[in-house]
Amino acid sequence: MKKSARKVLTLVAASAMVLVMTAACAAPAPSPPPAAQAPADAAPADTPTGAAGVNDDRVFTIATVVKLTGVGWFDRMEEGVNRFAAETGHDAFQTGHITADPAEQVRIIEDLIAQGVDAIAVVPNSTASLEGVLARAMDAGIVVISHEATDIQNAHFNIEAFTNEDYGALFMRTLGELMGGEGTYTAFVGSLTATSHNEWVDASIAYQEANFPNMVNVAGRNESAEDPVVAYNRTLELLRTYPDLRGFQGSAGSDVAGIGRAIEELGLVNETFVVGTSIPSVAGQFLESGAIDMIAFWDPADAGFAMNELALRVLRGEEIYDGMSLTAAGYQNMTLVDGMFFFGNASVAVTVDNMHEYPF
Amino acid sequence: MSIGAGLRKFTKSSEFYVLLAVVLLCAVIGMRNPAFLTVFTGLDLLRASIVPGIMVFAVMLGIIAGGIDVSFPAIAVSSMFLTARLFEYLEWTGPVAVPILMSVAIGTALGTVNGLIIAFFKLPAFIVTLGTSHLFHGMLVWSIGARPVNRLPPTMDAFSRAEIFRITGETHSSAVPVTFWFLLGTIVVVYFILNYTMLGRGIYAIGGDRVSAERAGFNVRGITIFVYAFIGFASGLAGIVHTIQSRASFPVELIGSELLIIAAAVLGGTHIGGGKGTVLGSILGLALITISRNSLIMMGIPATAQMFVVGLIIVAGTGMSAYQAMRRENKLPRILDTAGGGVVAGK
Repeated sequence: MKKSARKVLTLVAASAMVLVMTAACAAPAPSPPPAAQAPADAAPADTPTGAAGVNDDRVFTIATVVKLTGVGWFDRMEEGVNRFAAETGHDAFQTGHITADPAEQVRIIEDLIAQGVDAIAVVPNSTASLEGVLARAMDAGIVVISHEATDIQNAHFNIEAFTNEDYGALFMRTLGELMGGEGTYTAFVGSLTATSHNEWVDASIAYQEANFPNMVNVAGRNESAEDPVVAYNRTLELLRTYPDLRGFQGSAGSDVAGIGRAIEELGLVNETFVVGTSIPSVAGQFLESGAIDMIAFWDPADAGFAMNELALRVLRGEEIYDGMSLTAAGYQNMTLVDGMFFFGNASVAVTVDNMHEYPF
Repeated sequence: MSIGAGLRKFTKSSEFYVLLAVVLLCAVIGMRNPAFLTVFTGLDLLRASIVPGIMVFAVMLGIIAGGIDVSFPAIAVSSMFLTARLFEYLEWTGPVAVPILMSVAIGTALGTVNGLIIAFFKLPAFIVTLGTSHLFHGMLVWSIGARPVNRLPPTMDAFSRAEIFRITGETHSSAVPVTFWFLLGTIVVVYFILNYTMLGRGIYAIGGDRVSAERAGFNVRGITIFVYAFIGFASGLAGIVHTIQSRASFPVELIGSELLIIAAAVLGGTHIGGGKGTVLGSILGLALITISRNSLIMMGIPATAQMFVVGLIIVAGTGMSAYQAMRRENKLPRILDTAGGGVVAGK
């Protein structure tokens, strides 16, 4: 009796596993083909709008690999990728891992090489750890476009929404004016290996030294691990260590939320000034309470669109030149540096007054 | 036992060495920055230890029972995010207890799944939970997607601001949130189970020697299921407290915290092979990890060096208690050397 019960249990468990595995294998498979087929039918009609009138009806597969999925930022980028797919008829999709792990990004890109996609647009977690796999992708004839990676070597082109110098200076111009050019400030980065975050902070500190000589940076830069609870705990610790700390600059989208919550709880909303990269859905409640004073960002949807648009132009063998337009807003007059680094003019500064214009 | 004898016994325990490490660390930080030695630091650290703490004591229970559970962050994030999304969808305005109970129930259910697999198939907990950890987290993201919850329902939001007490100084102010009771409750429950119940005896027994425990009449299967269900229960609680503390819920948080949590339990003298471990030890282990994770800025250690220093503290801390355990073992009579008079010599 007991033995047979266990046999039944084993059987049930085994069949459940088989079922889950077939379901897991079957589930992702059907989704790409319809996406590829449906636009393919519509492609001839749509092609002229997306590709500036070039007569080329090949349909390309373009994968956008993001730092991590499940955060508002990259959900918004996916909207841009989907818009590109809908407007041009190409098979463009976004993928990524649920954690910001460089090793997972390598694995995803290896899968894409094996699948034989035509182009990869990537937002690296760590540029250095992706160089090898991106080199293999290029060897396999795949067009590689990166974003937020000004030190990358193994890519055809890199796109930045703006120069990191301009963007870092934007924060310090605002923070310096809010603080009246006096007092101490500190800065957060999502990770000490995130190139863009560190370049923004470098530029902010340089701008402060040049324009607000009476301001003092303390604690260099702090690491939040892109977790608002870590940013919150660090802020409390910083304020204990430096009781007269008045200015905060965040880099990861959730940094200012963690900082803002600490500022609110300590009742320092009026005494402190917080600026940083974020999006209204994350920072909105703190912009309303006054804990955060200004956030800036570039619209990830436009960046996603621009990356895919550039990949498409390269795939079609079109001319790539300084001053070209990649259709998306803020990317219509691109500056090309060193033959592979494109810079747009797409930063958006938001305060409590205009946050409702950006519902994401 | 007199107080003096008790104290002497304590100085020989591994807890004593962890306590020494905590005091030493505090002294070093305090010397570098006197601002560390204030009540505000204490309260901030207390608050930072709530979520990891709830998980440490549950995981300790599992390690004592001879199994290393690594799925608790996945259970915590699954319970909290599922709950947050559901109550956001419901536009919940009812009592905050309902989402908390919901998260705890999800956690307990997932933990029971672990327990059933481990107990019935007699598989190592580490292997099973490595698998279920991906299973649970993957199922979460696959089923309900990964869009974060940026604003909690109003009653949960209000609860996140509820405080037991707050101390306000000239430049700083610090509070112990109401969620601290959850940590205290977990500690009391685990202490009671381990020290005053037959279940607790059984947990130590099956961690020490599973076969002997079975022969001694312990319901090994039942106890195993209970242990993993309890880890699930505590993870569900820790998850929802994390969401309440964040005032938002992201499906990627907490993942990756498992090793530091296990390190806290092991630092406190919990034997990684099972059968040994105390609540006091884990409190000290938790203190050591929390202080080293949250006080390095005060010491002026730059962010680039912080991970290195945390690793150093863990290695030094486990080294100290392992050294003490080794010395204790060397003092035990060797059965072979003292054959015949061994029992007498050992007294």
